[in-house]
Amino acid sequence: MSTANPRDFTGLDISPIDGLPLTIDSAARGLRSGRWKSVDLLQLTQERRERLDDTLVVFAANSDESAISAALAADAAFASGIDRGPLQGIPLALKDVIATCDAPTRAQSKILDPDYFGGKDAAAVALLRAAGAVLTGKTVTMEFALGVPDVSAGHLIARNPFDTDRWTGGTSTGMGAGTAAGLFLGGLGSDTAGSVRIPASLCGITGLRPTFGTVSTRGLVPLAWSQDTIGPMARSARDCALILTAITNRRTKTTSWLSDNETNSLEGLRVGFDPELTRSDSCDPDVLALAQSALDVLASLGAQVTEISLPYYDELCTASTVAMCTEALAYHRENLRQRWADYGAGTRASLALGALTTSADYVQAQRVRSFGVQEASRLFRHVDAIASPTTLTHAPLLEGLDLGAILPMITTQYWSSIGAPSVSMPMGLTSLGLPVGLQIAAAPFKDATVLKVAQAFQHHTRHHMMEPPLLREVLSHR
Amino acid sequence: MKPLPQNVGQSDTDIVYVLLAVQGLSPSNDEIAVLASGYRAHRAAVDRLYQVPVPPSEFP
Repeated sequence: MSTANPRDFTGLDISPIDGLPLTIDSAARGLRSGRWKSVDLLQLTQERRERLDDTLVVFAANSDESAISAALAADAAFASGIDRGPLQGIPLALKDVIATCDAPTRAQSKILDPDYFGGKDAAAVALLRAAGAVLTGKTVTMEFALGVPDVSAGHLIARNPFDTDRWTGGTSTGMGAGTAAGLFLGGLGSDTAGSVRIPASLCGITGLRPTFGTVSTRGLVPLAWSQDTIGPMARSARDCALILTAITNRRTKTTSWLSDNETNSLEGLRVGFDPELTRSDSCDPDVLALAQSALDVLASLGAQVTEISLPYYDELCTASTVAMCTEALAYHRENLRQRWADYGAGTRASLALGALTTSADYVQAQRVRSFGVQEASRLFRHVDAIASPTTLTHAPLLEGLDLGAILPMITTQYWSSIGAPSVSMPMGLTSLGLPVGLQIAAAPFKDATVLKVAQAFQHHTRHHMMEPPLLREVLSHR
Repeated sequence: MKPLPQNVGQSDTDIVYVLLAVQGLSPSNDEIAVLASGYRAHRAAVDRLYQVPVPPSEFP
């Protein structure tokens, strides 16, 4: 059974296995106190990659040459008194649907031109580099951020570090597994219907879907333009806030998404919980118990927890699916006509769903989504944030996994449909020792609220500091 | 558009075949069968979108 790692005597969160800082925040403080150099952090993460990646299948491509250059540049900057902020010198990674100049962008596809976006950095990647981050490579995704893991298509399939027979959650699969295993300290995933939050839940890390439009998607391989977001994935909410601060669009620029003076009290904050979501047959009793304990923690921090009912839940999830599959078909149709067999079976099935709806259906779906934003804003007059389990079960086994089994287990799509921010953070382990996440959502542009709730929760719990037992087994035997 | 079979009818399989053929897509019979098996439920869920009381003026 996993146990959460305690802080060391210097107040930093450090793995007792090999001394790797567990969070970006700890690494950033250690870099500034002289405890580490950036090249040390890179070396520690690369050692983990060498020992674990054959098992976990996290990396689609590495960027070792540019990563070592960036680490040396960060160390030189520190030595010269230049500090570009908390990401300077921090090893991060990117989901392989986000373009970079130093590694191919494949999106697990036989079709996509690896020089996608002209071989340039996506807008968010350019901002990470400008902040001094050390980008270590591209991580495995599901084909075009869609479908299901498909062995028959020859796809790389990332493994859950808490049980390698199980799924990581998708579609930022490598980001979930790699962050949990410390192959990097965090990075960027993409989230259309839950692809940051689901792997965050199933791999025991924190992942944020920001308000739609907060982070530029220029250079992201599209899935559905009206719902695509790029979001941070890391061990803690504080780390996600540090990444979000670096990649936020200039138009919505905030100095920081978290204050250093947060009291970690939730006094006066109103948190809603819809019991209907957990009444479904799909909800594991362990998950329900963990969610209840997590709500008790929020209440102990001063939050007023009340029951609410999410308006038009099923309809808004359907509207999200219709919009996603229709837009995805528009993007892929010509390639599908010419190269049907070059797509994986699960991806083809998801894209084909887009052909089963009419243009009127698409318009009505978008009208329902717009109406849903107004209905939700009415709800948010009575609550500041809404909590739910991110997934209603722990990670399912990879063998026999199908799309029909995935959709009933997620609660992420509702927030995608209305463009609202939501974060998934670890809330504990089920009886099989597998992590699940608590999702906190808020009204559009209230990203700071979800991060505040998550940070307060994580200030009082240590679920997010848990390392998978596999790490000790593998890294302790040299 | 792909040519339609002469005996095209009203079954879910036929409907799915036609909708995919309109887009020029070429799934196998097995793939069509899988999509057809979920078509009725999918259609019902989509049809429920028209029951949501969206104001007539609403257009994103």
